[in-house]
Order: sequence, then C-alpha cells, then structure tokens
Amino acid sequence: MILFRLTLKSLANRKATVLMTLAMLVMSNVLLLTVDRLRLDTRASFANTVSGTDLIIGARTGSLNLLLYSVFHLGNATNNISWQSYQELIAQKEIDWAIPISLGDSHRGYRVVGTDTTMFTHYRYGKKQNLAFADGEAFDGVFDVVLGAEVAKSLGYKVGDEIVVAHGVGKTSFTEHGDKPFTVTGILKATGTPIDKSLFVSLEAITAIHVDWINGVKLPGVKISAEQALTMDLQPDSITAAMIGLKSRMQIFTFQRLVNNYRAEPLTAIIPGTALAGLWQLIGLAENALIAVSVIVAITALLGMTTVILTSLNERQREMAVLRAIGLSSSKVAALLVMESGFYGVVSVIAGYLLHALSILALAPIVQEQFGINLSLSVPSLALSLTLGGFLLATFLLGLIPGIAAYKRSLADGLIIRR
Amino acid sequence: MTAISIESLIHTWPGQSHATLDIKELNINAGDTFFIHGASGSGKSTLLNILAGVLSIQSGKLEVLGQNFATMSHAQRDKFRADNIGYIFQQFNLLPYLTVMENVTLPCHASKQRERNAIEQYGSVEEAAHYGLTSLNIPKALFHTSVMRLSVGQQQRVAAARALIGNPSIIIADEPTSALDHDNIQNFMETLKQKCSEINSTLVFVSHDRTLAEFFGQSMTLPSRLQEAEQ
Repeated sequence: MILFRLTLKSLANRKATVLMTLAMLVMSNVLLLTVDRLRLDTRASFANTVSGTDLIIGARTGSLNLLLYSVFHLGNATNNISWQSYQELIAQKEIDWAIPISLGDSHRGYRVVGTDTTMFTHYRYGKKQNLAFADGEAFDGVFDVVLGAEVAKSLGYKVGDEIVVAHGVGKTSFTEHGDKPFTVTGILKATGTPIDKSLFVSLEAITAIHVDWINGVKLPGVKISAEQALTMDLQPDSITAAMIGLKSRMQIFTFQRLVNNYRAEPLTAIIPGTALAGLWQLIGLAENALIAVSVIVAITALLGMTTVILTSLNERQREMAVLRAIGLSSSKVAALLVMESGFYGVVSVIAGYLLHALSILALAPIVQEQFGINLSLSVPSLALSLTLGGFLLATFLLGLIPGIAAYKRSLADGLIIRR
Repeated sequence: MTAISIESLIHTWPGQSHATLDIKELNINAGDTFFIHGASGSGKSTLLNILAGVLSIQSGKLEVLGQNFATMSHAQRDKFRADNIGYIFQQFNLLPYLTVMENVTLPCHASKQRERNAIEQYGSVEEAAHYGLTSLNIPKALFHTSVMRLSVGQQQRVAAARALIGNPSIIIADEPTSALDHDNIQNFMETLKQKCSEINSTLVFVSHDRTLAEFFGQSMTLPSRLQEAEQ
C-alpha cells in the first residue's frame, strides 16, 4: 500500500515526463484499437450489404468483380445479361425472388440504379431487414425516383422535388438526360450500406432516358421528348446484374451451376459470402500490414517507456537510498519501478480506449459519408483484447528491467549516495 | 547491555588489494552516544552500511541489539533496520514529492513496531510526528508544505524527526551537520543528543570533523587507508 502511494506521488512529482510518456503509450493504444475497429467494421459493412442475398448473377466475369460492381458500386460492369436470359432464369422453380440491377447513370456523383419494386419488398440487409421508407413510397411511374437516405440528406431533396439524371458515373457529367427529369416519390431510411448512396428508378426509366442514345452517345438530331418516350416500348434489352433469393438455401449450389453452365450466353453466379471471403483474402494482406505497423508502434512506445524509467534511475538514486534507509528491502525498491511501469500500462490502456471511443464518435459520421462504413463502438475483439493484455503484461515485465537495475544498485550501493 | 558489538570485522571491496574496513574490537553500550571519526577513504560509509544491515558481513562478527547480523538474511536485516534503526544522511534526506509530515511518518509505514510505539506514546502517528517536529523547532506552518521549501537546517531537523519517530533503539547519523553553519551545528548536535537520550536510543555519529568529538561520551578513529599505506 505504501509502495503504491509512493509510486503515485513520485509520478506526480515528475508530471511533464510522465505525461509525455503516457501520451506516447496512449497513442500507440489508440492506433491498435482504431485499426482493429476499422478492419472489423469494414468487414461488417460489406457483409451486412449482402446478408439476405443467396446469389448474384451477372455477365461472365470474375466473382469479386461482379460482387464489387453489382452491389457495392465499385468499378464498372464489362458486360450485361440479356433481358431474355434473365427472364428465363427467374422463371425457374427454385427462384423465390429476383431483383434486377441496371447501372450506368448517376446523379451528382451518386449512382442511379434501375430496378423494380422487388427491391423494396425483397432486398434484405444487415440482420435480414427489409428496406423501409422514411418518407413517401416506391416509384410507380416511369419518371419516378426513390432516393437513398444519404442522397436525400446531403443534396437536401424531399418528396416531390424534380431531379435530372446524368449519363456516366463521374462526379461531374457533361451529358445529362436533362430532357427527361424525374420526380422524387420516396426517400429510404438509412441502412449503412451503398443503398444510402443510390437513387432507384424503374428499369423502364433507364430505357426511356436512353431511347435517343446509341452505344452511350446521344444521337445527333434525334429528339424524343419524355411524353413521346412513354408511348414507346420500354422493356429493357439487358440488365447489369441481378440479386436472387432462392426458395431453399439447399439449392444454392445447384442453381449456381445451372447459371454458370447456361448455354444461351456466358453468365456468372456468385455466392456473396464466398466472394467476400475472396475479398478478405486480398485485403487481408493490407490489414496485416496495418496491424503489423501498429504493433511495431506499440513496441516502440514500450521501449521508449522503459528508457524513460531507466534514465530516471540516476536522478532518483537519493530517493532509493532514503527508502532503503527506512527499511524497505531491495525487492520493494524494485517493485516500486515495476509498479511505475505497470501504472503507465494500466493508465495508457484505459486512456487509449477512451480516446479511441471519442475519436470513433467524432469520426463515425464522416467515415460513413465518405466510405459507407459504419464505425461502431464496442468491446475490442478477442485477438485485440489479447494484444492489449499482452501490452499490459509487457509494461509490468519491462518494469523488471529498471527494477532489477535498481535492485542490484541498491544492494551494492546501499545507503551510499554517489555523486 | 551492549547495543553494538564488533569483533575482527573486515571488509574488502571487490578488486581492491587492501581491506577498506578492519576493526579489531568495538563495543557500544545501549544509550551511549558514540562518535566515529574517519577521513574520506577510511571506510566509514562501508561501516555504516554494515551497521545498518544493508551490506553483508564478509568476515568477523557483528551483533546489534544481541542479533548476529552474519546469520541473518537480507530480508531479516531489512526488517530489523526498519524496526530498530533511525538513519540520518549527510544531506537530501527527504523525499521531494512528500510533505514534511509524510516524510516524518514514513518509518511508521515501513515498520509495524515503530507505528505501534508512536501510537502507544502519543495516540497516533500524526501526533507523534507533530511532537517530534515541534520539539525540533519546525514551525507548524511548514508541516504540510513541500520539503523543497525548507532551509538546509530545517531539512536536517526534519530528517532527525523521521529517524526518531517510533523510538528506534539505534540512531545512525552520517555527517548530518556537514551542510550546516556553526550555530546550526551546535543547536543540531545538542537537540539530537537530547532527543536520543529522551527515548533511550544509542547514537552512532560519524564525521570527518574531529571537533565534533567534544559532544560525545566515547569516540574512535578509523584509520585512513592512506595512513595505513604509509605505515
């Protein structure tokens, strides 16, 4: 007890050094915690997005590629599925529901997704939740649009507003479908998935805005108004991909084989979870590098702490001699230094967690908006808890280095104060 | 009763050809005041470390309060020191991060016996510290201030109060007056002797300053190694 009080008072007497040492250790803990949080939450965000989908179907391509462009809107499709093949496939008896996806247009940097109303009734994310409307309802007419939560929030749209869709997916597009404006009929609740950053229109709408276009270029001299377009046959020729739910999960592999061996055109069917596992394998390298760096930073901080305590031994020689004189044993003098080291460990882990929590709270909205990743505050993972436990243990063990030095010195020098 | 009894005590530091310390015989009676004169290099620090039980005995015999130090472990000697020995250094006796009171009561946290003594005599450790500090002329206003604000003379008196609290049987003083001026030395010596006799402690006082011998009943001189080499 007296040792603990002496440790605290002695530390309080060296505030500047102690605070700087703590800052160093705290930062290394924040780094460890935050890197781990980012890693887990990135994975969770991806997994949540496809949690209710059994298969994703697209043109023949790599499974990762298909997953990324169809669901996460990363990169672009190289090819489409013909409408006819799509119809044939979803007529199969195994199919419970199918959501067509037609990509290629955007609105002020947000993707426009051509789909049908099964999107709002059957798409499931997170813990198998359906989409819900914050305001309004699903699209009904050709020139109706439903907005993801973030689109509506950041662009300030409300139900009833008119918007213009642009061709292509850049932030700024020079070719707009300005002649065919859309009316907002509904705004979705936030989901923490790429849905929030998307606009939804019917497949017919995608056809309609492109009736006077061929191969991505507006036909010169041809001008078909929105009213005229409505009178035309708006059935799409093709779609980009489709998300599929089967009646039974037992049929996933059979149906996947059916799609992959489809005769009429080369197609790919992927199981989202499996494709994600491939993604993690790829990202795992980068993750491991980040973790390695943060572990090295932690080790550096621990060595720095040990150096600080060792350096303090010289100026604390009198203190040690006085404590020996009043009857403290050499091992108690050593314990004083181990406790000091342990104090750094305990305080820096706690302060590190608090600072990590604060920074997550502060950064979560920005990260959500920029990267669509939901940063959450929760207990560290098992692996990280073990790492932090190891960090804590290391502070006590490293305390033995100055501890043993002081032990030897106080045995040899005893009450002699060398100047 | 004999407080300290030495027979052919020899100590040689590693790597040295001559013994740093070589005492044939020394007996100090309980309650006595004893002056040990030694020039630098005479091995007085070594002697003090051995008397305090910090340094193990190489050869010879040392009994303190009837306990044979040679047969005691480090831990036993540490406990013995905490219980029975008050120690005053030359200078910088006090822990800079503790207040005056905290410094004085420190031995009572290290030794149950001294805590018990203090409580028996004064009711509480704090009361014992108050009494000790007051009788050593430390103004009450300074009791709870940082020791950094004390003059050197005050620091040495606080150190004395710490050595005396809980009535240890032996007080060892290692040149406690070397940083003091003449008037302060007189005052300090008289007070220290008086306090020791009040609690029946044996005072062992070491200094290179031969003139201080006049304050003590008995004295001895440690031969310096330099003189030995000449002989």
